[in-house]
Amino acid sequence: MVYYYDSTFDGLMTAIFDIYSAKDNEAIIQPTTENVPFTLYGSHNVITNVAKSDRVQKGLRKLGPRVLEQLYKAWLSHDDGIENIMLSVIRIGLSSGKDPFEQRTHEAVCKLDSIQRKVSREAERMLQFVRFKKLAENLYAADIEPHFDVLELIGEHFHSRFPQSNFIIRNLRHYKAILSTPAGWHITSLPRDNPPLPKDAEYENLWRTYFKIIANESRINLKLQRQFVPLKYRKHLTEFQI
Amino acid sequence: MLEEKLKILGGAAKYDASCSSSGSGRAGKDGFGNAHMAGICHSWAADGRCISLLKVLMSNECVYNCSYCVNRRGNDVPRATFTPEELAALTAEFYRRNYIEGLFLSSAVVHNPDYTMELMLKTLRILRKSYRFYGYIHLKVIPGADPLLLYEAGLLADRLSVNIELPSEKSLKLLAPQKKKTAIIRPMEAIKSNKLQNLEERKLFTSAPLFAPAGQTTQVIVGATPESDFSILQLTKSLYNRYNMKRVYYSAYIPVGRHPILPGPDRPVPLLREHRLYQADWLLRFYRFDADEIVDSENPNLDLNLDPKCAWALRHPELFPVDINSAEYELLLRVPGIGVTSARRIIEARRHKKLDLDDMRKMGCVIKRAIYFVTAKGRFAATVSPDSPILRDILSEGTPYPQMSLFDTPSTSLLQGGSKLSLSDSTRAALQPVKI
Ligand code: SF4
Repeated sequence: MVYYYDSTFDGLMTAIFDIYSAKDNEAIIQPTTENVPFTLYGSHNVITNVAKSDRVQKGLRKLGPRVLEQLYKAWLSHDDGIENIMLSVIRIGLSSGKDPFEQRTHEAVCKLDSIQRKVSREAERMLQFVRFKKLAENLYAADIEPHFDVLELIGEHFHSRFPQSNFIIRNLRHYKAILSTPAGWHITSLPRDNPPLPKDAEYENLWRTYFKIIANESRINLKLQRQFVPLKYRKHLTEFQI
Repeated sequence: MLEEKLKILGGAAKYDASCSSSGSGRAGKDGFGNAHMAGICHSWAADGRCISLLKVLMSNECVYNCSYCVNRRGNDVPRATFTPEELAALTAEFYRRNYIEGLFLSSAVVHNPDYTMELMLKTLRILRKSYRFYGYIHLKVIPGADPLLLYEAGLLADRLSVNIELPSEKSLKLLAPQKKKTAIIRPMEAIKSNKLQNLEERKLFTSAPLFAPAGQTTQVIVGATPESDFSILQLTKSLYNRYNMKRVYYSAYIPVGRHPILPGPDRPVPLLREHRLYQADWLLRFYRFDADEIVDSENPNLDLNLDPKCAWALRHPELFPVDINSAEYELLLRVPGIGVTSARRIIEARRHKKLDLDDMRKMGCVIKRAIYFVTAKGRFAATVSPDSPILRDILSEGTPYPQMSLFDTPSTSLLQGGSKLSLSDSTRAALQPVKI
């Protein structure tokens, strides 16, 4: 049976619930698309249900303190077929009653773990690489273009770091943004067309000056630098702009 | 001009190795900033080193004349001093743009130690009290300053450090006659005891202010003076044990000084030696090694061609191979190529099934080196046994730094050139003096 879900995490958890209630060992999960392809299997439209989702999440939490978080991060990759790898890993966890991520001899576990690591890694990189420009007193803005949709993973960090400020972090790749004010933060969608941010020249120049001067000329190692700051992220990094 | 000062005082601070912003968890809602427990690097400079903190000197107008230092009084370089207001504002503005995690403030000695510390503390007071800045601050204490100033420094900063500079008192006397060993040791002791006392106070009153929550660190200059790795690692060990150091940093000497005993300007920087010392330091801190196991008075220097753990394993063929399905955690950690993460994964995974080498590979363990030191399900998969004399050549690493000269390389390696494993970038990266 193919289970179509609405591309929300609660929807996916509901799908897992339905699969387990139906004892369906050959289930496939897919996000609902406009034109559902013809399939030889039966299909089932999952109706997202928060209560069912909560029960599944509670069960997964019991397997280990980080299981749910790791699954969630892997899901954020929105890779094709990620739901089915998640399903295999969840099966391994629930059938053994133990943290599936510790059972690395299973191929699905390794695969999922490496995906969730990539997502975490990029979220961490965004904590490093967001560069705010000051637009007005107490108003800041930054642009990022991460490969994965990691805004949700970084909002809390920046909000608690700058609790009194107003700022926006625009994700120009997924057309979403974090809006943060002293009252709290949330994610909002962005239009396709976003005007570039104005320059914040004085401090941008000082930062570039510092960045240049701090390198030790007897140790230049551009290869190592490229490993830590891949070229694809440099577009929005003040210190790499001339 | 602020930009000129930044050039001079940032440029003068770059010889300091440490830039870590880890180990503190300060936060406050009434201002801005917080200290991230694990530390965050915000960029990497052209030398591949992490930029986490704004690392500057308060001033480079030094009244001392340490021979190994660019800022020595007798050296003809441009001089500058930040005003506390300037530096506090610069730090805050950089922080708000997410360029940095905070400030690493050090200084040459302006007029005298107390005067210098006052300037630095004034900067910190503006940041903490007027701006309500909760980001990370690392302050390098000026040896010889009043203990009360040191105490205040601990209340304002997350981390304090006093550089030990040279690895022996003799070298210190020779090259930095104005610095006394006791003047360096005394603040280390004071930081340690203030911190212990503070922990006691905080047990009674949780509201008692924190004293240097991220502890203290120090730095040793390597290769300026003739001390062996044995004496450096013995020093390291006692620094970790006696003063609860969080980190000891090693800084390969860059020839900027002039003194008959100092290496001349054309002497290459001993980067590989520095790298091996960091590896040895890791073995002390994370792999439960003792300094005497790594080098001893008979072999007083680290082998530049071998990872120190490989070198140790080659000296102890009687302990290998070990069975990955039964060896205890401590022993797994001693297998070349098995790191902390791999050892943990093996322990976790073998609870569920018996492992073979393929499982190890699947788990992400790199078995290139481990293969010579382990058995799995009773099978030893390498063609060369742990006690074979040629294993040493197989495990030797090519020299990763082309600027190395023969002067730095002990001629003990059997293989000069030939096919060697080269040090992977990630290993090298992991061992750079960056955040951990
Ligand atoms: S005290 Fe010595 S090491 Fe420090 S800045 Fe002055 S000359 Fe350099």
